[in-house]
Amino acid sequence: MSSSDNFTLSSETGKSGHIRQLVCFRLGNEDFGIDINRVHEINRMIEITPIPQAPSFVEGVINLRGEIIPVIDLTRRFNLAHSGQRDHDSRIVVIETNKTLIGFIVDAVTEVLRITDAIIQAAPGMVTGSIAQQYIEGVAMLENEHLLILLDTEKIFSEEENRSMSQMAPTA
Amino acid sequence: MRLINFEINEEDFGLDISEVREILPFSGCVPIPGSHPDLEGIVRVRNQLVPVINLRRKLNLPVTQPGKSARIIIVDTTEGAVGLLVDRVKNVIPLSDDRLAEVPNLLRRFKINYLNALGELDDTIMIVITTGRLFGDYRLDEVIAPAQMSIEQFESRTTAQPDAVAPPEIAVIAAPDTSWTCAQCGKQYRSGSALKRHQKKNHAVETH
Repeated sequence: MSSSDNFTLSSETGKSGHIRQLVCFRLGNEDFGIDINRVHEINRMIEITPIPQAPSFVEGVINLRGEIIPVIDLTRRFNLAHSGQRDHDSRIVVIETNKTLIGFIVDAVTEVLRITDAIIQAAPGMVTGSIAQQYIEGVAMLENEHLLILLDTEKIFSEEENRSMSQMAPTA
Repeated sequence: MRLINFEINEEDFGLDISEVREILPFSGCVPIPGSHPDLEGIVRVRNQLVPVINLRRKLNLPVTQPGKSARIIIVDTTEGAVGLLVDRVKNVIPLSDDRLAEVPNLLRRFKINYLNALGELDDTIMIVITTGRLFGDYRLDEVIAPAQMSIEQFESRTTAQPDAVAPPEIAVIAAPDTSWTCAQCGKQYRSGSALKRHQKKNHAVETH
């Protein structure tokens, strides 16, 4: 299967912007995308060691072939409605941000898309709901009328953001 | 680094063995009404009274009734000997530096004080603590102050409180299946070569 199956815009639109490749995943009822260059790897759920007294959105740590990395529950981080259920579709997406690896749990990884910058728009507040504007790079309206929320992973896990989050979040 | 591997809430924790004075089975302790919730009570260890901190409470984990496998790990602190109540003590494991990972940056920002390092075990991760860090956020002296009393006062509180010490020997530590014991100082090693290194270093014993 060629990647063109997932094209949302024909490649002729290349003139109107950069082609970008996104890893798409689902959290609750929303579809999200992050730049594939940020993604280190995608894993099935493995045993997560919880860390007492960490903020509730910190799920714990995992041992990734000898490297110990923290795992975040993004639904908690964004205060999204979440069933709390993990099933065989759940994945740990490991991204590299600020030169460190961080994993986050998603309900499912759906596809890898190529889009052009041209279809990315600033996110209207009503679309993004409870997710703070500053974590969102924009939204992409896909051909199938799906809305994809593009996350800015650098900002989600920036030191400043996490510090303020940790003050807000009750410790588990 | 050799670590006491203990369990709380079904998770593995580790504490450098050099911080540990002894490990005792938990057979109840004398509670002090009105004291800090973390203070489980007092145990009498030979002729010394030792305040016991419930690590489940200290770490904000769900509190359960201590079971048969519960142990008190006695550590030396700036405030004297303190017992740490844990669910069970599993064993003593050597962990080389390359299997001890620093706390990831993201976690370090949250000031999870007790957390010193993360150890890689075969199939899981061990949370390595130090007592200094554990009580670093805490007025330990105030928490254990109600436990400071004389043996007489203690005895008047309890009529027939059984002595917490089962055997007089220090180590109730679950030793590894096979161990090599140093004849000079009684330290135990998991391999003969580790024992030889120890003897060479500490007792100037020539080994071949």
